[in-house]
Amino acid sequence: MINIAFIPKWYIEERQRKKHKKLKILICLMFIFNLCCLDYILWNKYKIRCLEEKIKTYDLDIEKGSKKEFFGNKDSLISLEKIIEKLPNYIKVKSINVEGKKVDIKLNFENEDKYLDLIKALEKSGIFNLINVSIIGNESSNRYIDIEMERKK
Amino acid sequence: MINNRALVYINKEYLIYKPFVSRIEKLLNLNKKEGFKLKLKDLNNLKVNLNKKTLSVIVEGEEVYIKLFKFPNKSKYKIYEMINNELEYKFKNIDNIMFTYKILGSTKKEIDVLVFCMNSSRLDVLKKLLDKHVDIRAVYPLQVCALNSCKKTIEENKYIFTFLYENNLYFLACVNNNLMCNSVVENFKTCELKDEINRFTNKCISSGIDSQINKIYFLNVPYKEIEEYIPKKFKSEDLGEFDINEIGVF
Repeated sequence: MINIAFIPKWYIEERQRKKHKKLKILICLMFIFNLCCLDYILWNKYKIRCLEEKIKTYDLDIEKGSKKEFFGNKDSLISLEKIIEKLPNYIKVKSINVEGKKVDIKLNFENEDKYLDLIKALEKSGIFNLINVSIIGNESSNRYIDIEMERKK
Repeated sequence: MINNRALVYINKEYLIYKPFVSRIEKLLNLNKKEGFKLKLKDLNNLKVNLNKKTLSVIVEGEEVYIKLFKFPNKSKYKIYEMINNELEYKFKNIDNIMFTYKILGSTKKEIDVLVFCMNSSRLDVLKKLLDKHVDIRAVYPLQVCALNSCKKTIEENKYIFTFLYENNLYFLACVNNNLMCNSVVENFKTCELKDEINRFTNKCISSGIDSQINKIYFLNVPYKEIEEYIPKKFKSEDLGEFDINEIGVF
């Protein structure tokens, strides 16, 4: 079999033109998509920075010997910010442990009434789901109350 | 898609359009699609909707120019450009020329390329149809289709193939399954056969075919009339008649 097949030049050029046109459109779309991704990343970074600054302005009454370290995850920072807002000034905080949406706070236990108010306020606010409340320790000054909760949204 | 294929046959004066019919439709006699014959002057009265059809085009009456080039063996992808430059040097204006090539052999330094060119001015008719998103699959010259339809009965390695259709006589010289030389004679008369054959063999020699060719095949030619005009050094064979509806386009 002798296989000779021709294609006219103007047809080849038109095919290439259409191909280039599609390619250009694809490149533009990818560029715009990249810009959107970049925007999202920058926005997230800005938000984290704002949250960190806001948290630092809070005056936490934490016992001596414990450290203030917070960094990283946006979820954790939002949870941390929300719980700090809710804690009233007159309660001494022993430790706050935040992992994503789960928050675990330990407060020095002095008087029952104050804590009942706090727990009611936490439930009412609708931000947290309380999982576990427990009192640990004997009747002396080493007692503390342990509240575990999970942020709803 | 098989449903979207069609055959277009182009002549100097008219154009035939024939959609492909699959075997099932032939069996069931579902010939809903119709072809038509259109004179080139009346192109504005086109009735068939040619959207999304892939066309195979057969051109009649055009000569294929064949030449063997030797290029330096740098890279396969640059062969197209090199051929383009060579043809521009030879023909000055290559807007109307379409070409393909076949690589015959390559050594470390050189590469042998057989180039086929054809004039594409007849296809300007299709440019108007292209506005409606028509796909061209390939363009074939008629004499090559005729040769391929007889390939099974031909056993020789080197031969000349002559083909007569509508007063045009085509000569094709084949060596080792490669087309080496082609010429077209218009308004052929049987008494001029001897001169034409001699002219063609001279053309073959000047275009680089090494040895003499001794065998001629005839297709669609009134064999008994021309038998006396064939030069005696050739052995000739008649391949019978040619039906244009039986072209299977490859």
